[in-house]
Amino acid sequence: MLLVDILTLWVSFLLIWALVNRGVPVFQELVRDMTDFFMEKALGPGADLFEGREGSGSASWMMHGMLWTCIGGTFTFIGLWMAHEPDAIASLSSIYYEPTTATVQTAGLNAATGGILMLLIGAGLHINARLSGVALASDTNAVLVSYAFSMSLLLGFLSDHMSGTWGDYLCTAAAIISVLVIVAILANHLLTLGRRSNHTIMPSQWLIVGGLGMPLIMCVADFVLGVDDTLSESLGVLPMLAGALAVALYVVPHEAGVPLWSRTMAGATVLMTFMTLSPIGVEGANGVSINDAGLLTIFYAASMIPILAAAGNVFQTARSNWGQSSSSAASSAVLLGMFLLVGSAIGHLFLGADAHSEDEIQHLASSMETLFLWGGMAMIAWGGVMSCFPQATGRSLHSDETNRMTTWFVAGGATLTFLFSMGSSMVSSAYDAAAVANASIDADLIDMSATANLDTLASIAFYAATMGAILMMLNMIRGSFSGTPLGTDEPASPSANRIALTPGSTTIRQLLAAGAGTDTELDVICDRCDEEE
Amino acid sequence: MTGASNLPDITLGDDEPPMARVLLVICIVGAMSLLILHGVLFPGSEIPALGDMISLFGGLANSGIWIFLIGIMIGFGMMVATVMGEALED
Repeated sequence: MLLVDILTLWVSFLLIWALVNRGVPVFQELVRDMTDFFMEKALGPGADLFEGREGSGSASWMMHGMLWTCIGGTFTFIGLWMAHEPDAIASLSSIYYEPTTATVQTAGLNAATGGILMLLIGAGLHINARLSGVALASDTNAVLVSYAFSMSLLLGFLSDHMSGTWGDYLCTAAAIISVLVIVAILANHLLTLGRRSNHTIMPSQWLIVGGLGMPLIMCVADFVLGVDDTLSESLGVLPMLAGALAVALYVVPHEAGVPLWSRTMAGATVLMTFMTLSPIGVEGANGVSINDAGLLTIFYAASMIPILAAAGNVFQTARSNWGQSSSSAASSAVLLGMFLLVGSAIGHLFLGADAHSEDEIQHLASSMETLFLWGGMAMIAWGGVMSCFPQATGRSLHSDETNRMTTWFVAGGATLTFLFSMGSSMVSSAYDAAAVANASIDADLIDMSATANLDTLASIAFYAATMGAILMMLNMIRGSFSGTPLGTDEPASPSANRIALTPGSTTIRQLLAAGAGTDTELDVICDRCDEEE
Repeated sequence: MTGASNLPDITLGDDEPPMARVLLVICIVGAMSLLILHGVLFPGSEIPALGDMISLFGGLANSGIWIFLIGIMIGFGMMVATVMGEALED
């Protein structure tokens, strides 16, 4: 029964909340020591392969993630192109590579999803360590499992190209490896939280731990109790969505140099992210009754609350110090991502509700998926990379200009792709409906050149996103090898050594405008003061 | 008038855009003009693919997608070259 399953979901969130706050009674030390042992020493020679320098785990996840984002972007572009020209890469059959359009699209979607998730997990590792006030519990383990997750993405990528038993074997292996990796990352996060020097657990940390932990607990609940398919469907997007919200709530205040605007809205974001069901990625489970569909619709609608609360919170935070916030490429990317996330969440709300009822607008699903993944998630992940990667590696990214350019490439490319592909889907759906309604129309004789043109424009627009990912990857490689070490930069603008003031009131803003810096000496000149004394 | 500005109506600054950005804009405008010119001179015909322009790729690259894929391949090649270059430099 769906209602009971939703109660199980809430109980699992309460369980996470209690365990993180209180620890495991009696066995606390034992569990901590054993987890610590399994994270490094139990891995034997595997752990000796990597240095485990501070920040290396986060940097490794982001590097791998951006590589998979590039691969995913490339195959998504090819898939979009093959939608209007199925024989586009037919010449590759000479090297025995002749996939169908659906195969390329699935492989591209899975690779891009995995890559963007890796970017968010990498940023999350850095964020949790920073907010805890300590180093990550085990950077060695984080580096090691980043390679394992990359391997699982590779196996998944290969299985997408294979049919039959071997495809199933590879898919199963990829799923098992990725679950084990997520368990390891969750353990790393919990150990880091356990060693924290800052008492308060910040909203971003709750979102990171809950986003990784809740789907795992619900998987166990599914094995033991049996959970409704509709609920399992909704949990699929949770690690990525919660990770993105965590990154957004960290990056914008950090870049703007001001506190997060509202504590209540941050709390609402955390609570409602895990207490509602997201319609994003829902395709419609079989055998959903009308009552369940109604209940799901309410929970889908409620899932808008955390997204709107997070968006409002980060926009107000950015507004508090708009000058610094808008001049940061990371903050700009996150703000763009939040804006597009709200748009895609509203679209998915209608799609999700429709999936369990009339099934009338499902032709918009792939366009909406592109907007969510590349417009919302990728842009927030971009912000996370631009803000966290330099701190993790200790070197700034190669070019700030490239940061800003790739932000616009990906945001513009994803938005235009969404608009063109949505237009094409709506036109072709209208043609199909007309052909069904009027039996005298031969569907094969309808001129579909309009949709072909829109599909062409969609694929060309997406090329910008692909190139943006490749340029960002180059920026990261150059930055990690030869970027300027952090802390050795020249000051952004020279400040005055001494400013003379006359008696009276002034504001900090006026002083800053006059060229004052933190080391500027203020000298109040008063001719009559000595006489008065 | 109290709100009047001391600046003249038009002021000219000394900053110039970077040459790379100027070239990028010129390339985009050039590509668009060639695209339009092709439509005017050869109405109704498709944009030539790579295989139509370079005979070496005649049998291989007979779709417009290859023009874009070459850009992506160059990008991935630059990634490998950058990693190797930076690693060897270190």
